Amino acid sequence: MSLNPEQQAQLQAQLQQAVIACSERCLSFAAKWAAELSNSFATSKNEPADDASDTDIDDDDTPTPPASHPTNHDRKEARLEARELPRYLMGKSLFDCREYDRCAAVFLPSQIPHRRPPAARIDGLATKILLTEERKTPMSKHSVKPPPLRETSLPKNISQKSLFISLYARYLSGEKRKNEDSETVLGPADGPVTPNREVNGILAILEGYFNARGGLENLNNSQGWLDYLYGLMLMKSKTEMLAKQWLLRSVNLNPYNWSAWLELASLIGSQEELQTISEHLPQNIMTLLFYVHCSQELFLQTPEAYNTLAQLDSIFPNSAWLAQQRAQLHYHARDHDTALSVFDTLLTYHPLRIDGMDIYSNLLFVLGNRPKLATLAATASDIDKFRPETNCILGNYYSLISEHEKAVLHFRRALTLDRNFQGAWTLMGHEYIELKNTQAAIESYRRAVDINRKDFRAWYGLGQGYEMLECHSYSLFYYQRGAALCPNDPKMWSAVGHAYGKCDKIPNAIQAFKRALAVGSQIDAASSFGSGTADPLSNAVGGALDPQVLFDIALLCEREGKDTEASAFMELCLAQEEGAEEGEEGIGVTQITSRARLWLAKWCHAHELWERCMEYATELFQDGMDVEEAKGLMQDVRARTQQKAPLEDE
Amino acid sequence: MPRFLTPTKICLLILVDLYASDEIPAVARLDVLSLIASHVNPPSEYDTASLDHRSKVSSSDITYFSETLSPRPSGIPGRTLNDVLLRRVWELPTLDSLHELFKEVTQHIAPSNSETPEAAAARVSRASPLGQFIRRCNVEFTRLQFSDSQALWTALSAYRAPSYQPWASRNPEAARQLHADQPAWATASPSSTFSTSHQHQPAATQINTSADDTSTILSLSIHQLQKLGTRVPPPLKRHLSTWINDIYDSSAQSVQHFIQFFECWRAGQYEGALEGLHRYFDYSLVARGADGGALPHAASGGVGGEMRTYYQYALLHLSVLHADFERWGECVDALGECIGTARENNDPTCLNFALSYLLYLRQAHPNTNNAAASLSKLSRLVGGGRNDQDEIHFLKTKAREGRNWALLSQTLMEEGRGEMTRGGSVSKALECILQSEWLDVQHDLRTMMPSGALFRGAGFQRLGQSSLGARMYESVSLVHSGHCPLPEGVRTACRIAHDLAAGGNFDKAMEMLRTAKDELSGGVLKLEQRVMIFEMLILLKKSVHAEAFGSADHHLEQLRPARTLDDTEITFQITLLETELLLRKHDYQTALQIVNENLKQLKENPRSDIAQTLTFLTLKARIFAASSEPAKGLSISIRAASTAQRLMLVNVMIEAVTVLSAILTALGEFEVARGLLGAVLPHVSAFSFPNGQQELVPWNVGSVAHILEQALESSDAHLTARLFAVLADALVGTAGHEYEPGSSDQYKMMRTAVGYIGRSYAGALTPRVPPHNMA
Repeated sequence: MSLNPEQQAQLQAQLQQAVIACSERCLSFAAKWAAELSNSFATSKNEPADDASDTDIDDDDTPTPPASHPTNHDRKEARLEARELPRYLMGKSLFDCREYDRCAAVFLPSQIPHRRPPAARIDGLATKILLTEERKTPMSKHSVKPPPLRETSLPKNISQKSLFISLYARYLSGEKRKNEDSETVLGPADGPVTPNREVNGILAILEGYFNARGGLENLNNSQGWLDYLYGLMLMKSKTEMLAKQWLLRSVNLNPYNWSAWLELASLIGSQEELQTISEHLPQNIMTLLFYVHCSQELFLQTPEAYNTLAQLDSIFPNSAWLAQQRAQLHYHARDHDTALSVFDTLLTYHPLRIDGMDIYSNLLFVLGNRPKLATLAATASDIDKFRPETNCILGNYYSLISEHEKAVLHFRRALTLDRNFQGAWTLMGHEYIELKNTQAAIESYRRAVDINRKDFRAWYGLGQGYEMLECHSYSLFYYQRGAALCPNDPKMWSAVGHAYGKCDKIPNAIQAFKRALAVGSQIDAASSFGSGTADPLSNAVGGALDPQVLFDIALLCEREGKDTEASAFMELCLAQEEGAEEGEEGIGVTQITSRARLWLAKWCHAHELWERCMEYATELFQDGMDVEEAKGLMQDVRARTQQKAPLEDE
Repeated sequence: MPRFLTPTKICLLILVDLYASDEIPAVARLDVLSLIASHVNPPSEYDTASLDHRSKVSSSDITYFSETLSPRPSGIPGRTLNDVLLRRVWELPTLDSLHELFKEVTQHIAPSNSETPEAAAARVSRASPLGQFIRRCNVEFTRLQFSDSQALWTALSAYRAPSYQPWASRNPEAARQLHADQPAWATASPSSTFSTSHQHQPAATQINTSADDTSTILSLSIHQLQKLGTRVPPPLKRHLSTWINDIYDSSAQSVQHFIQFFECWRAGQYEGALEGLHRYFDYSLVARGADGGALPHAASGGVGGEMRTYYQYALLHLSVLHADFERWGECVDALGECIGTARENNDPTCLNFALSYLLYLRQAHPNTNNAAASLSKLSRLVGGGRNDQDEIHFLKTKAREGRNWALLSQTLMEEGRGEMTRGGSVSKALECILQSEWLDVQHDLRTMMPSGALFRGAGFQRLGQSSLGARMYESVSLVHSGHCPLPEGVRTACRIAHDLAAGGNFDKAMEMLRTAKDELSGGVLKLEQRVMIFEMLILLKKSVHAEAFGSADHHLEQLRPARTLDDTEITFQITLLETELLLRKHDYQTALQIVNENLKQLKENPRSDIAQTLTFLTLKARIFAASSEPAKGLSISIRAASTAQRLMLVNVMIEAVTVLSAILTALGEFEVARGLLGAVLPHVSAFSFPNGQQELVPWNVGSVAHILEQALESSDAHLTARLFAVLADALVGTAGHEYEPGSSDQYKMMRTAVGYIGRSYAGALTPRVPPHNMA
């Protein structure tokens, strides 16, 4: 799907419009994203007729802007905007100077900036600092609903843009205060204990605003921005269904607000949800981008995802964001080499772009590529020391060189910079696991999960934490969540299996382990094509299956009392040592296979299969593993056979 | 400025690694070890060269190592150790390799609880200097923030950059690999700091010097300023001031003023020194207020804690400064306040030091007019009692209690000096010196050894053992030169020159002084002055003996300012020469006047040197003898001779006996004079005749002359000549009165006399072989 020049020009114009609109509303990240995208078209074609195309765009541009909206509404808005331009400009510049309260006060003068709305006070009950005299008055103590009268008393005739910017400023001011009050990361005041106190007030205003204009159904009453803010506020107050509806409405009305898409994506928890929601989405290029993003977030390595990505790539060949998504997709698919090369090219073309580089550092961490990770860390730290991404990279680096304290320090720093940086929470959890600080690890993982429920590593980490605390059913629960999110990872399934085993649910455990085997071997089968038809087990040798899992299954079978089955699995485990055919290499003798062999030797001994037992014991002896026990077995067997031999002779 | 780790340290670490992993061949191992040791070990306090050596660590590129290691062979033919080092240095492609390097080097350290000694034997033990260095580096590296380690890496890249060509030409494969290993985007990054730049980029020097190095160099230079009295070489001074500005630590800043104080002092700039001291004090006050840490470079004793407790040290310094510029009033005031404050603050170290300094001042400057009085007043204020004895006793007890050996040694020295100058027992004085020197040796008080040797030499010379004394002087420059404080060195040179001049060896003496002057290129004003004064003295002596009155007067005129100096040794010499000049000019009246004046002064001062008094008495007798009033001088010379003999001041005694014999001869008592001369000569040659009372056979001219020469070898040529002349006089007199005219005995006697006269003449004319060159 490549676009003809007109379409491309049109798209470009729309994106530029979006950039302007976003930055007018101070949605800086959305603006940045759109601007990046609008600059990632293939340039080579445009270059010869540079001037001409520019003027073309201008010509096209002027009549086109948001054409889908009824014009009279727009005109009214434009009139309002024109009238309050000076005030808007002041508000905007105050916003840019981060004087959020003052900015909000420009258009919502009734708000005394530092006064907390009563509702917020109720929310903040938990914060002990606020236990003031006021609190003790019965009125505020029991009135759960905020008195809506004052909140909805909006100034009449205010343009949507101004309303948005002032409410958004109010929200950010609340966020700022929340950050200030949260104090240290993982401190007593950190986390949901300290909410954003402005959310309820904004919610009330927006509710009043939309109610006055026909509610959710009337699509004509808004440009989509306020809907986005409303959705965001609803999300913050955990009203997710409603939030989804409003966000959907927002993206339908104004598809070029990437922030809205992102929020929407964060609300989608599974592939099914994505499918249901896709019916309500507008059909344009943004939806495709959204789809790519969701696939990446949901670990969907479907061909469609790759297809869409390829299509988009043809439109935006220079897009760093798309490259990042592609790399992340490959990374999630454990296609590390491809991901590595994609990241490398991405960095070569955009050497100063740190966004998403924490994922790259994760990848390098998984690959154990210390020099490259160090170089990446140095580059990032050169560019900006105070970005959460940079600190994540540094944390990963220190984790890789086993300096976990320093790693924790950097992750904490990343979180101080941005408490919603989900990756850092998960990684910090990993570090705390390494440092055997299980409590902190669990809390970190919990925070990570609270921010993004789709992170299987955090779920898995939670499981690990509880396993360390020997709370097995809890850990089973979390492992299951992890496995559900990432069903293609054998590690998840074997963890689930272990947890089941610990909970004495052996059949389930065996089931889970078998699943792990299946998932694990699936990958191998995909890579090694060929004769898999003759014997279902013919491929299952030479390291195709995880010997550890096989060993575990065998032990579980033994616990179940299915000895023969157990021995079969043990033999399968042994079979991994060698390749299927001559010349093929297996995994060789390892600790696990030796243990399997010892088990088999003992099993044969118990079942009086002396020759086989002798065979296993000799092999063990040769491999130099468990020599003492092997020797004992051999002597015992020899003694018994010699005893028996004279008997037979007689 | 980094705390500890610099590229130089990393190169050292690599060397340590090479050494520990046996990659250095046996032949070069010692060199490498000593190179490492010279940087790893704390610097020797006494080695003047170490300062220069240490400052090399701040060199901005690897050439320092290259130059040192290039001549050393490595295990591989055709490669030097430098190549081996370069290979390792360039084996570090990225920042990460630094981490690996540190991990690798730490492997060499034997585990602390290793049970198998043979496993530990092959490694570096934890407590060894190398082990400590490795561990320190490791700790410092762990402490580094990421950005700091990045800065270290950048510095290392720049540091090694100049060696790229030599390395790459020998290891082309590795060089290619180095480029291939870099990710494409790493070099593309505009702010790329790790572009393994092979073209030399000027490295920021401050990253090449760590705070640790700077403080080492600082304390080293302060030590040298304080203990050795030298000055900081100008290039190092320039470096130091930039480094100190880089350390964001106010205490280090204030140290700069301390250095300034010493510098000005040495250069003789009183105002500047005072300003520097005050500024140092003010700034360290600020520093103390800010961080409350102890100042590392505090004066003589360790200083810590509150500002007030630091005050007495400032006062002590102030007092020393004033004393050095001979501002006695201020000096005494400051010292008094210092002692008061030290008492108030219960600081025995400072108090003892101040008391000892007080004692020293009184001993060293006995004839300063009002200073002595106020000083003794001060000592009474301190409660030391009426004489020095109590104070010495007090200080000795305190020093022994506090195990302050330097103080004890110093006090013993003062005690010996007192014993010697005030006519106490010589053996006691010698014992004091011996004890003091033993303490110096026992407790490694190296900087005090030269002064001990100097004093001992002076003691020997008083006893007439000139050659022994000369040996002692020699030992100062031969044995103690490495840790000899500058003033002692100069003093020794002056003494030796003076002795040479006394032996008539004027040219050699002048040359000696010229060398001393050249060595003083640092510009220490007081010492330069001293050398110049001695030059004048020698010139004066030369012209006096040559009876070149014009030039003698001129030199005397030049020496006039030196008389105002408060140095008894110099003024005494000047006075002696002046009298000698007047004697030669036959201006007996003035000469007598001067001698009388001096005698009066010496008598008034209870601390005056008895030897000086006796010398002046002898001189007086000589004046009487010369002015044809020998009877007047008889009793004086007899008294002087007997006192000198009692006190074993052999030189003075010979002088007195000479004068006495001359007087006796003049009075016609030839036989007595001859007998006296004969009796005194064994005294002189006590070294060769321990019994001392051997009869001299005057008839055997050859043997007598030989003995005389032996005995008087070391001493004054002038005196020797006069001895011979007087002996000849006496012989002639005897010949005239005792023997019959024209008898063969008389003839024999006359011939002997003529022979003595000839010897006397020859002795005065030919310069003697200096005694210290005879060994």
